[in-house]
Amino acid sequence: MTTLAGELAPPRAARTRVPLGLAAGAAMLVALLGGSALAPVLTSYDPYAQNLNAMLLPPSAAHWFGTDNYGRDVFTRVLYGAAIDLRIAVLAVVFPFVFGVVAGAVAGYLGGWADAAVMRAVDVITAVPFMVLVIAIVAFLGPGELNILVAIGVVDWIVFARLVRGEVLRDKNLEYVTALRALGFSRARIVLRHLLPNALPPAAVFLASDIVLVILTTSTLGFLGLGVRPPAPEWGLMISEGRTFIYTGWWAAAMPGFACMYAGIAFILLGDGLADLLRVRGQ
Amino acid sequence: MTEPGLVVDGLTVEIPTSRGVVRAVRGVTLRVAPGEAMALVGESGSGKSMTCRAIVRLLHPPARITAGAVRFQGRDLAALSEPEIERIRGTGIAMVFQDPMSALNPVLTIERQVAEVLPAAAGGPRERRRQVVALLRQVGIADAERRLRAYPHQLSGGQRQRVMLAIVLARRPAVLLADEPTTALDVTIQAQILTELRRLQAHLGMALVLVTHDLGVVRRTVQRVAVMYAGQVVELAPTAALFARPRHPYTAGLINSVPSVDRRAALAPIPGTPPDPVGLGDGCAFAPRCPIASAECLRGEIPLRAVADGHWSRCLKAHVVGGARVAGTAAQGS
Repeated sequence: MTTLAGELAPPRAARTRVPLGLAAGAAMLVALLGGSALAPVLTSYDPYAQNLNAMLLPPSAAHWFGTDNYGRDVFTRVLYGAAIDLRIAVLAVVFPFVFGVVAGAVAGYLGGWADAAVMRAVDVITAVPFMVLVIAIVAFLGPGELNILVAIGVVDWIVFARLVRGEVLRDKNLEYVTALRALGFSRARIVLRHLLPNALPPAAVFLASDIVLVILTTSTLGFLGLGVRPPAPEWGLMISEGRTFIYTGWWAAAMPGFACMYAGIAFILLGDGLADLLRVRGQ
Repeated sequence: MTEPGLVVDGLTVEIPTSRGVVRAVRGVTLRVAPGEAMALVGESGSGKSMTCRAIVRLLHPPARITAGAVRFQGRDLAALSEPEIERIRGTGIAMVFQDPMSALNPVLTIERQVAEVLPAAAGGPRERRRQVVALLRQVGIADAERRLRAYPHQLSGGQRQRVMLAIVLARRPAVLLADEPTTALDVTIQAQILTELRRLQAHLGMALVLVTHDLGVVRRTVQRVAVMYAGQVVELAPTAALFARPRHPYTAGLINSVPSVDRRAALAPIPGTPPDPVGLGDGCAFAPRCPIASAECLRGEIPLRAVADGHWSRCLKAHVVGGARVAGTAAQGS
């Protein structure tokens, strides 16, 4: 790069430095996913095999997180459970994210009846607390992974719709949008190629914290017996099963609890770091 | 019969407000011939920008066209549907805006924004880049290659306006509406941009409607001038004739209130302020500020009348306008 361009461009280091939160969150997630993928190698135990000779053993070198009331290794089950909880979490937010972003952008840009239709739907869903509505829908449809995805899909898109609608509403009256219209660009093109890219970063940041919410929702449903069925090593289910033995073997419930916390912190750091990164870029 | 160029006929724009309906543009009639450069002049709020926005149907609601027609390529733009007007904008009639700071998308690079207006069939990435560079060079951006990866905030105001011009001109519009394209820029940059605009206009054979309140710019840049006051065209004339002998007291006042290096006379600002746009009556809107107004000026609508060849005035006393002061201006005018 020549000197002149070097002076005009912002300092390179400042632009490409990865925020600490992003690095930490990503590292924690990679560790969790890696651990889950390599679970068969990392532990010699079977997450489903019961061993009545080893019930509720405290954490030790042989059983890092102890064993549960059926003698199953809790560490093994937490690792296998990560695959279930993270899979549900990621799958569950895909539809709400995509649908919410599109609905919000359309509502914000078109206004009028489109806006009214989307926002009234949002109002209706907002009127009922998130958890209550999800539980009601799952209770109605019956437990199971697919029904969890459906319930979260119905309820969770509104946050993205509201967020993106706000961004688009703010941007659509900016001069550059008028300038684009003056160039003869169609409404669809302006929304897709100019307004959406500007509205996506905040939505992506929120996505990270939304995944946390979905992980907790999934385990709450598991805890309530409305989620994944036993004996699957789902974290919420494990907490629920271990709860009975909280005085004799606290680890059976606490360890999957810590796993939830760990995953939550990882995603929150990721989202926070992403926000920092985009804020630097946006200046 | 299809008239060539752009014909604005009795265009009226109204804005409902809590205090009543504001008639921002009141029956503006203009004819812009192909390849012609004309100017819309007037102080802030006189309806010049509103007229341009109405022509390409980019009024911000609740402002809307309530009467009149905009004839272009055999169609009435005021009556087209949104998808139809989208096809006219850009290639038929394009518009550049006052503030280059905000007219570019802040999060996309210059290259992407210029490349976006290239025809889809413009070839591979290398060829497209070459065309983008050529466009940027055409509007006088010297180190075009280096600017490709820049974001708008990394460019100066003048450069951004040049980029805007490059984008707009890439679509080869038949008519370019330039809404005060240089007011937000330094004086030296203003001159450069206007010279560039003028050169490209002649080169591309495009018609130019320059909205400005700067009479110096008008004199250097265009062949014909429409002076607007309170939403109406009050005088329409070839540039030389207008400066030589204005036929409306408002125009005369405008010319006299421009400071000049070589004119010794003191500045003569127009007394008073523009009228309240709510509830404008029928009579001459300028009458309350006019040095030669009389009772008859407030009686009824005053039509735009020809006072000389191609010279129109909306003043009952057009023949009286042009006292000593204006004559003095005219002497150094031509």
